Amino acid sequence: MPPKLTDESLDYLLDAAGLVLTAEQKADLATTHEALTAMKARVRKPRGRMAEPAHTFGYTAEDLA
Amino acid sequence: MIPTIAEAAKLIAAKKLSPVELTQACLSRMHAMDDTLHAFILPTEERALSEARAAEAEIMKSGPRGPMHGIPIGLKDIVDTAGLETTCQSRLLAGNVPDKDAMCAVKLASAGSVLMGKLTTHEFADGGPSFDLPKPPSRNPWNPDHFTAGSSSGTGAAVAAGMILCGIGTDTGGSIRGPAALCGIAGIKPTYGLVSRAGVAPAAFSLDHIGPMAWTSEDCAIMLQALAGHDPADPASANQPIPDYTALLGTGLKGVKVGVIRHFHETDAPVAPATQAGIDNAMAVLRDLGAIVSDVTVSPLQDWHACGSLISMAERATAYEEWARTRLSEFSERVQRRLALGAMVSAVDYLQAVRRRRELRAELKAAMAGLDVVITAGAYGEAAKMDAIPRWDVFAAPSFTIPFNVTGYPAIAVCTGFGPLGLPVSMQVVGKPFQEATVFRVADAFEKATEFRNKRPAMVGG
Repeated sequence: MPPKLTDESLDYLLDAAGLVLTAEQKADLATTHEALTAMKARVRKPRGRMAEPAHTFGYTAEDLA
Repeated sequence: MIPTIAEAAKLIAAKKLSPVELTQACLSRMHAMDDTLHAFILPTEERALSEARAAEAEIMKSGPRGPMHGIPIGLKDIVDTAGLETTCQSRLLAGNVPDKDAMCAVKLASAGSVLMGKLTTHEFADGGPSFDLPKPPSRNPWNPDHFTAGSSSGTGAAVAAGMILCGIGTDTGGSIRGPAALCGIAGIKPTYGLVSRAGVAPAAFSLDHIGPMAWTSEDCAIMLQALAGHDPADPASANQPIPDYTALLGTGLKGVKVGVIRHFHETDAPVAPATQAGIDNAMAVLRDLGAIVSDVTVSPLQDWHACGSLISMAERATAYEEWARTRLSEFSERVQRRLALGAMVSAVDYLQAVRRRRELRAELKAAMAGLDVVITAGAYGEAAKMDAIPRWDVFAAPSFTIPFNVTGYPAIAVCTGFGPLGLPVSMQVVGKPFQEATVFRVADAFEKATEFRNKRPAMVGG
């Protein structure tokens, strides 16, 4: 079971994002917590600190001139 | 009979079909059906007839510019069009009239196509169907009680109903291939960066693709030829040579190596029996045509879905942060809630997903070594009813299409038959980066070896 999403912690996240939701919207959003936590677990692997994300720079001829 | 682009182009070049006649036929289908289907947000009938007359005059004088000359098309309403309202199906952009065309609109106009109008989309290409927006959602021509999928919902419906011969879709997690699958047409998400996104409203920057939707994969190849190419105005645009996308059509499948990611649609997320039967039959057809078919195993579908969904939530919340903070209540109820998901994804969550993305991309590359294409389902089954789409569909079931947004690989959805409700079922054919010509070769060979392209929705005349 993921850690419980309290009303206070959801309010903090929404405040930090600058979003104002109705009480009904907040309650609905809270229902996604478990599934969202499962998604987050799926992308975490014991890959170590050297694993870089997928970003690469695409240098053009103009960049290198 | 509704011609394909390939058929119409031949008739137009031979001066046996006028672009004006072709446009009028599409307009009459639009008049007959769009009150039911709501495929168009903004029809441009006068402009279409004017462009068709101009195309006819030019063709009579000097011949067609190419196979798209005089072909009626539509643009999803997240594509900017100079002088034409572009609302993204949102109250936030009511009255928005861009002063410049998106690059994909420029390219299709340069090819001589005829613009029939702007097409219905989910709001900012997100969520849907929504019933609390200024315009209603599009409905499925095979049965208007059923969903088109989205977000390129109007394009899917309009092509299937023959109101246009092809149209622009965009695809962040399956928004070309989903409507193509449920509306029984062909739709390709090209390799990431192949078609410029300049002037198209973003959904999630690193997952967004622009691509063709048409009745056949051959028509998608013809349309992609007009769309592909480097554009410095798109920071992710690929600077790659553009091949002839029709070059391999009709060359057969002898020796072509096809992998099937069977576990995606059989065990990770089992599809409806009609979809399974369609894929099994397709594999038999491809074998009969000379292809060598084998199974491929990669990470579970749920891993790809989690990776793509987390990236999408974070990037979408980034793109729309300003409006979400200041005008949230103006979005549809569905999009308000989906944007709020971004608040629950941390920067570390996002970057862990991006790290996972690199691993998954390497995994697909390794799995496809020695193969030409891989195949899996395009959707779970036939289209559900309009009122049966869960609000949190992102958590209801993993997507078969998002793995190829995660990797950026080209993927086409094609019709593999019909289910017990008489609605289409589908599969995806996925190629290696910039190998769209091979994707079209396989999809076209399958379509031409089967009868599914001969059947249109009953409301169009079957």
